[in-house]
Amino acid sequence: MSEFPYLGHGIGLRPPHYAEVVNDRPAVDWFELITENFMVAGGNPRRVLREVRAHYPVVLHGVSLSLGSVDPLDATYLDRLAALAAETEPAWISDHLCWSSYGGHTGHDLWPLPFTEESLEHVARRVRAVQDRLGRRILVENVSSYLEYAHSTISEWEFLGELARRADCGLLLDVNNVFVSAHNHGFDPEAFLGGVPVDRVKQIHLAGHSDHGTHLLDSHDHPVCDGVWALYRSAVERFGAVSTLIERDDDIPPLSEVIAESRQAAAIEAEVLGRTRAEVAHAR
Amino acid sequence: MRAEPFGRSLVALQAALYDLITAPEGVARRLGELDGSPADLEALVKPSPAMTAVERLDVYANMYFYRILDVLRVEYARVVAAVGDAEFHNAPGSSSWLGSNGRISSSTTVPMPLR
Repeated sequence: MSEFPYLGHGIGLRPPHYAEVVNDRPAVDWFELITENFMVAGGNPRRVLREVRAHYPVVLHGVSLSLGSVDPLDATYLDRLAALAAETEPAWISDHLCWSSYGGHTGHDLWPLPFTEESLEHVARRVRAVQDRLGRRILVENVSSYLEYAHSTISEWEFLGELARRADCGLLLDVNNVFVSAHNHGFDPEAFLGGVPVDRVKQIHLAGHSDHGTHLLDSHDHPVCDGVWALYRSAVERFGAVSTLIERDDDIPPLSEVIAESRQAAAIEAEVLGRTRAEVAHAR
Repeated sequence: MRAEPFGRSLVALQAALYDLITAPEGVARRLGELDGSPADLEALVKPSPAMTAVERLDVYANMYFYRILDVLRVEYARVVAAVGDAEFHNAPGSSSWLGSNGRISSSTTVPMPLR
């Protein structure tokens, strides 16, 4: 089996859907779990995790590694992540290209980095350290951003490609984040897709955003919009069949609506590749 | 204008932006306290056609503020029910009962008007 197997089309597991997923076992290929929500000693989250894992592939998606922070890597967090991974056996582990802590304080946000040689070396070194600690390669995700730094020297997509090469990690391509950042910074989202190395993209995220007039916000409180679906179609044309996941974190609708979006993604993938879902899975 | 521009190294950048994003009084006012001007910030953060550098950083600062407010709403649900959402939102700068738990200092927090 590949280190990053093709899992098909999944959804992010969120608390309002826990009971339905555990009790009804809906037809979903796989689930992505927010790592930190399950870093607890016991209780309902761990019970849900065991139940879900018994019937579905899962991946662990973190929001607190703070790969770009100048703070030291949090050894305690890494220990807990390693323990959770040993128990859960996720298909893979991912986090974001950002800094989210400073001076030992967590901001609970995904703050963007300048795209410079200093950032590249810094983040690549930390990704390698994380991978050494976990004993496995990880995926690093592009974030939505609302500002650009004046001293960035390369594009975000060039940065991601070079980071993947230097750290020997995979990439989680968030198509909605590409759409949001392209709008906010005035770049061509197709250029972003075209600049990311095909062989490094192991997962795709799809989500909704909100329009605040002066900027788009990655709010995960709307369905995937037509523009993001169109960009996803382009992504499938470039990257082929990649494990794809629908994220929803606010104004969460019934599970059936999120599953319907996942099936829409599967239909686009099958249409673009001219194959059935079973053929796509077999080809991987 | 600051005598020294904001540094561009990762260490200097993160120190400056963390300070500005988490400042209870907002980015523009904190920038002034640091003897900085919008032009100083634009040497670090590019303005867009629709937003100044201060406004772009304010997106992050506002999200930081509202995350704390959301947590406090959950922690103090009965207080919210008693005084109402708008009063709760505007309370930290003028009363001491929120500041007493150590999460928000009542002496330094200036509320953003509830739109």
